[in-house]
Amino acid sequence: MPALHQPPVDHRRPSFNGRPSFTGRPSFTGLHFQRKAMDNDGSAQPPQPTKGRFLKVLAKYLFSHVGLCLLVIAYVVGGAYLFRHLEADGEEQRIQAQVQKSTEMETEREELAQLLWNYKNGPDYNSTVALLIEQYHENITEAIRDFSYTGVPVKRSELEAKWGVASAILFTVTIVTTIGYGHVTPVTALGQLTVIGYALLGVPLMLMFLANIGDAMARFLRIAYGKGCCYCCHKKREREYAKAIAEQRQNKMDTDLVSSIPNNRPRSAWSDEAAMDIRHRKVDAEKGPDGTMDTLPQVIPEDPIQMIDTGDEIINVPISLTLVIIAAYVFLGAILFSAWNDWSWITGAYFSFVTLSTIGFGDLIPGWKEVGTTAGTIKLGVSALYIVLGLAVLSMSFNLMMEEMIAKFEWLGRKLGIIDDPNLPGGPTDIQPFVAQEQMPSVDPVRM
Amino acid sequence: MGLEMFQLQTKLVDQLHLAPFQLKETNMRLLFGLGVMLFYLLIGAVVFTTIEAPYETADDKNIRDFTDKYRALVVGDGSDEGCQRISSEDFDTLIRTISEAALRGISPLKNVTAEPNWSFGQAFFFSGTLISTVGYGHVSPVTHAGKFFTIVYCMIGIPLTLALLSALVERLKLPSLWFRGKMNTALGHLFPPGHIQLLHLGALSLLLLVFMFILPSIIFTSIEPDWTFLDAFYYCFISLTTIGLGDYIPGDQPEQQFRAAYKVFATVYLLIGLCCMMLFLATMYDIPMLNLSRFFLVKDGNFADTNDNERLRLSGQAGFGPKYEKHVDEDSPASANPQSFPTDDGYYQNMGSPH
Repeated sequence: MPALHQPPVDHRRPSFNGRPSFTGRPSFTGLHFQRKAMDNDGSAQPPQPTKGRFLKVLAKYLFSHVGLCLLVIAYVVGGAYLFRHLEADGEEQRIQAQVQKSTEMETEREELAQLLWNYKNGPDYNSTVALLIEQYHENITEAIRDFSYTGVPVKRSELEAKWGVASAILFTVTIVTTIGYGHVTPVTALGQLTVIGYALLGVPLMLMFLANIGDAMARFLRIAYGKGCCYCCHKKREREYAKAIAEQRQNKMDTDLVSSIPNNRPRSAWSDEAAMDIRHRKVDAEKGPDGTMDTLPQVIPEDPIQMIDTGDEIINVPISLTLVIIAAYVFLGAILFSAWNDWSWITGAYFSFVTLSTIGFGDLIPGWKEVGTTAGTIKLGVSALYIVLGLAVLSMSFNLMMEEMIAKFEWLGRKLGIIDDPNLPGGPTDIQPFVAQEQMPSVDPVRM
Repeated sequence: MGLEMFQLQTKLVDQLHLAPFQLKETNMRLLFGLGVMLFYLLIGAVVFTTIEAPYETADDKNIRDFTDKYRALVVGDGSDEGCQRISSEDFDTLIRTISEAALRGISPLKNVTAEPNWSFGQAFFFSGTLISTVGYGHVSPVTHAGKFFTIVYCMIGIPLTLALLSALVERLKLPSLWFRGKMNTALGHLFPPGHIQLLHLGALSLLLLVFMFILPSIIFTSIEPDWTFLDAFYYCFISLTTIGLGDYIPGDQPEQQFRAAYKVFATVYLLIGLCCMMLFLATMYDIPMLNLSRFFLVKDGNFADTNDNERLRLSGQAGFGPKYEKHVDEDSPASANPQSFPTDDGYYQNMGSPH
């Protein structure tokens, strides 16, 4: 029926930027998208239902930096109390049993000593002694296996503090960060099920939080680095850039602006390929350069391929600096914890490393020996803080290193077989148009 | 950090925009890489055994020596005259030694020991828990050399493992996406693309649950004498999320048969399970509305509001993000396998069909 028939769409036209898609065939969906984006330029968009919009606004606020922080803190502390409550009933019985057993073992030890002493000159000394010692050995093995007897008399306060607030908070922190010390573990079935549910929600929450805070810290560091370390280079770059801009104004119609700009941007010592920078530059013609780029003249890009970025992404903190930051944090932990707990410094470094890499053996825990005392509580609390802060620093470092690491992973990937050759069509230097496509709705498709 | 680094890896590998044909060409290299990982585990096992086992054996030896000496003193040569008076200090030491021995699973009176902590199978398992960042803690190095080696081993091993597992995940994504394509063709007229993505994720989760959690739990329950099904499931969950509390460890029963082989299989399970968790995470991150961290990391121009995503989907991309175009192109040449795109007024147009 002609009335219902859609006008034919010629899908065989190449994509509008003239470049074939990754596999050499024209990019159909891309073309389709572009046409649709053109048609739906603001007006034909179906109105967002108000309830959905409100939820979105609420979610956005909730997940803003501060909101996320508070959410994570609440989740961790709330979880601590939850697990304390879940393990409390069974815990009381276990504590009683353990204290009792511990006292029994002490008594038995005294008795054994007395017996052996008294029996010194009695008949059948050999066999009796051997039997007694064997009996004692069996009892102590049972006490160790079933009652967590450690060979020394146990104090009730220590046992109670096992699921004390500080210890429980450390427990929930190690769960959501996937470190998992295991200094305390839930033994009730309900506790174990709760751990599963708690981790299912908490681990993604923590990942999101770390990504968020890492990004914020990375931006801050980039700006600080840009202002601080590149100050000496500003004058030089100003001169060079002014020259480049003058050149650019001369060659306005030349679309290949990219080659004239790159050397004037502050860049890290590591990556020097223009392709690398191009990859991440947003083509956003509306936004002008922000404060960190105040040395660059205000160039209004007429050509949307202009590669001026909005600022702090341009400044690449070198990998060496981020590695130094990570190492410094690990050493800080090493010094602090080895001093506090009377460890050697290498044990302290080992503890910091094992913790921050989220391996988390749990063989060494600051303050665990003195759990129940104020000092122990403080140490456990500081450990929890160290963990969260350390993971945030790591996240920030990953963020900073990301640009550089792309090059490194490409190299590694080529070695290991993820990618074959960067010069193949569709290799890494060829990916820019995908990014660019989405962000250039204003490009005229006629211009193919 | 393992999962966090994997987030980063996903971002990095996404940038590479890989095509299936590229992956096929480099399969041999990946196999080689997996061989390297196995070799790396073997190296770790050997080195840890070399460093830690002598220390453990030395301790055992000290205990035995003292016990033998004391038995000689106390029990004598079988006759009552052979006994000497022993001091109370000696006696205290004996009792303490017996306690220490019992804590370590050694029975100095019976000449029967538990499995040494640093046998080859245990060390292999330990290396596996290191590079997967699970880190149970039931055994850990006590010597300074062992601790130092742990740090070095991990600094190399963790990124190596992540890179290899990411490569595996990239390959596993292909059948996953093929399946999603099938779902799209089958259900594309019933649900919007975003919902199909969620359904796909749900199907993947179900598959993972059965094969990576329930099945192994059943196996563990049958092997371990005092594990209930919940204990085994709890163990699988805690291990595969790399939390690794260490309250349950497979293969630590004193009477365990074929312990070394069991430990090796447990290590393999850990690594395969980690790979599957990464696949799950990668699939989850591909769904824009679930990838909230990407939502906050990419600047406002790209994901300012999900209206853009809605627009993308409504425009007829059938739920694929731009980077999956190539998979569509690859799997469905326009002439042979027409895809359906819902257009604005609900009509379906087949690509490549004659008008």
